[in-house]
Amino acid sequence: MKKQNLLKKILSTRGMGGALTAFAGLIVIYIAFGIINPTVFSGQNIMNLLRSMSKYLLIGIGQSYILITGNIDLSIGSVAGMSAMISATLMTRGVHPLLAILITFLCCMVIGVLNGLLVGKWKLPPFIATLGTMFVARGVAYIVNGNRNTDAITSGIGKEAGETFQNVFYYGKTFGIYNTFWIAMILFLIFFFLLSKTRTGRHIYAIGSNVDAAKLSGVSVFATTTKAYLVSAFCSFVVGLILCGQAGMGNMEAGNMYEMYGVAAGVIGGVSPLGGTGILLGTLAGAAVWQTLENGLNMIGAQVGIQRLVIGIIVVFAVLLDVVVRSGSYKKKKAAKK
Amino acid sequence: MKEEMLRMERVTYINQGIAGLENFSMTIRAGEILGLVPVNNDGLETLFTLLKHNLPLHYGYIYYREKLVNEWSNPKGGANRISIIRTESSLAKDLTVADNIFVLRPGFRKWFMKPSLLRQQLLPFTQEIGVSIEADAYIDELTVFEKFVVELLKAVVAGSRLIVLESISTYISDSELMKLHEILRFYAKRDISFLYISVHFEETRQFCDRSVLMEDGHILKYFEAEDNVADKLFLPCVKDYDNWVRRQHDISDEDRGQKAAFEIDSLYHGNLRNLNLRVNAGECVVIQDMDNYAMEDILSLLEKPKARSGRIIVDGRPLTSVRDRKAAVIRELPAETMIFESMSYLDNLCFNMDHRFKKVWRSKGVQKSIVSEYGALLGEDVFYKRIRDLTIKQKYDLVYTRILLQNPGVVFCVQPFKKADVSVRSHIWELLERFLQKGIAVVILAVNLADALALADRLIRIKHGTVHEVYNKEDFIKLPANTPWLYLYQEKYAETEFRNDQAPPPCP
Repeated sequence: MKKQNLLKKILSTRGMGGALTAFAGLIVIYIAFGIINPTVFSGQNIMNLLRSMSKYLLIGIGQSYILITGNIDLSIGSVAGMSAMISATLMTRGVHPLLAILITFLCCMVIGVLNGLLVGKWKLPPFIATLGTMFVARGVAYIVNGNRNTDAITSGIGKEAGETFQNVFYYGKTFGIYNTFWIAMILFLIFFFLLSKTRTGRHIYAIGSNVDAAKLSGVSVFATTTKAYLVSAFCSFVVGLILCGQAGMGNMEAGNMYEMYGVAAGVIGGVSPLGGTGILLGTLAGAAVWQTLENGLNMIGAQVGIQRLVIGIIVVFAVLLDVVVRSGSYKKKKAAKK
Repeated sequence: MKEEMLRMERVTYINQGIAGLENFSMTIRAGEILGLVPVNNDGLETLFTLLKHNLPLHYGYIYYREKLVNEWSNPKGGANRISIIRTESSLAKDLTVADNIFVLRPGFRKWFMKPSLLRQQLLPFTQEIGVSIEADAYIDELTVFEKFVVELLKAVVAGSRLIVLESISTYISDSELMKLHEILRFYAKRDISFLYISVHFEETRQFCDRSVLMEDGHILKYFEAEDNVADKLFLPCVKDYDNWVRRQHDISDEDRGQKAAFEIDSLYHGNLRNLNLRVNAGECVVIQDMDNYAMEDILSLLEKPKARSGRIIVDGRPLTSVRDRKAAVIRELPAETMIFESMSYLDNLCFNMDHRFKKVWRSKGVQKSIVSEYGALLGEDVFYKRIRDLTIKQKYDLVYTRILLQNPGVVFCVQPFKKADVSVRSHIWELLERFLQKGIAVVILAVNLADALALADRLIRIKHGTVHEVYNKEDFIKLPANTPWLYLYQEKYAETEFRNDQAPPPCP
């Protein structure tokens, strides 16, 4: 059997084009900002960049799973906020951090299952279903501590345990890099493997590509959709813990708008909002582009409005690229065959 | 004695008070290719459903691989391992060939994917049927034929011993059809059976071991391969076609206009290379896309007439924009793809005529006159019906009449007979003839000749993006033997020759 050239094989992977384009864009953006303000290249800034990027990467992973199934999850940000509030509230009331994490995990998974049921089983439009759960999760985040932000978590579990929690999720370093980044990278590798090398991953792509064909092939649309929403809820749960660790307390507005950051990270990295296409490597690049833009625009003193404007344009451009590539690739291949 | 693959014995299936199948009996032996010609589509969907799923029957028995899988007195439920390949692809377009064949099949339990292993597994399957398809190719990069082969391989790999093929010949080219027949014969030798559904009796007759005629959910007649060919003249499925073709024979070229309605001059666009074409007013031309490459490019040009080089001329003027409505396109399955379900019948009907009557949307007078003028033709009641309540023929009426009201110079019909049963096909002929009578040129785009020749004055075959062969009506006899109703042209040819030479030519 003819052995395929490795580079050709990698490049022919669907979604790799978008990922590589995003990486190329990342390098250009980073160098451009570095030329304007050399502090961008400093070690501390890189460290901060990696840490801040991790939240977007995790949210992006969750949202990419959902986008690939051809759906959307608007509840991601609220679930992250709910996770931060539940874990912080429990810890301020003296619950052991591990138990608090476990309870928070279960609460977030309930939202994941609920989303799966609404979209996969009861066939609600994902936009509406997750809009509902977005409000539900945000409502829980408000209610859990009586409509106010929590006190510092150290007030409940003590200074040592509180600082350990914060170090594990945000301030601590391993091998000179913030733990937040390592957490994100470990989860990235796990979910990358799950998506690209397992049967579940293929089923996720299949229902995004042709849901009827997937059904006929014996794929359980409900189970697969629920799995994707569980991944999304899990990522939100971890982001919630990171936000809690960062602030050292629970903020009711934590994770606000994160669902859109997740969409942006995925789409910039070549994950198709139409479903069926995209790889998590692209989401990594997309999250990095997003954070580099925010960081770089901050460093050069751009106003928040300008930042939003630039990022908005880039998201639209990325989607446009996806549409153009999708419509052109087939013809190119056909011509090549001739 | 060969194993009996499927036996349906006096099956009657009633759903919501309507009999889908009635006293339906059919037997398929192992390794047999049974052709099924549906005179109308009634009961076909029910047949597909009952082959796949063992639903409670009103009466009858179904045996699959000599085991009773469904009986009326004791519904067993469950599903049968029978694959149905339909005109709509059931593949996941964003996954690879190997993923579709091996991973997306019921019963696949492996959790870890090894693409190299899948590649190795696929190789013997493609080699034995002499088809070269890359295991890592994505489905939406494949040609229509390749997609079909992948579906077939998927069915074989999934262990289906009976595979149903629905109207394959309507979307693959002649050469591909021949290759397909080789592949089916190969699998038939391995005792895999096929139920080959085609609206063309000639096709099933030439290729299948037996043919069976189905109408209104029951079997009309079985034909063995050696049965007398003359029988087919009396078949209801060819009678209409016979009449149309014979009528067309009598229309001379002088009856058609001589003014060019549509011209393509040295056109280069996408896969099209140096394409030259001329269609006269009131003329019907069939363009057969031999390799399934050109049709998409021709349609994209009509939508956005910007070619790399060359000219497109309609009614003596260059076609610049689709908005001037000089050329019209009727897409495949127009009853599904060209109707605005949420709009009223009248709005649908008037949709393409605002270039002729600027006031059409605000003047009740124009709309009233259309109702009174076309009420007799379309039926008064249809104007008050909801779109979803229209019959299939009424939907076809709506689309074709909308184009008639648009009054274009040329109409392009993409595979107009696709998925149409016999009665709808003859209705489509009538509708197409209305265009011709009004002096509108009709261009039928087809990958397979099927019914397209009935009205045709000329057949143009395009290969590799350029005109490969041109057949005038009198040359249709020279078409390949698998052309539907070739005998009609042969009859005509024989008559002409007899008049000329006073001696009948040898029967081809």
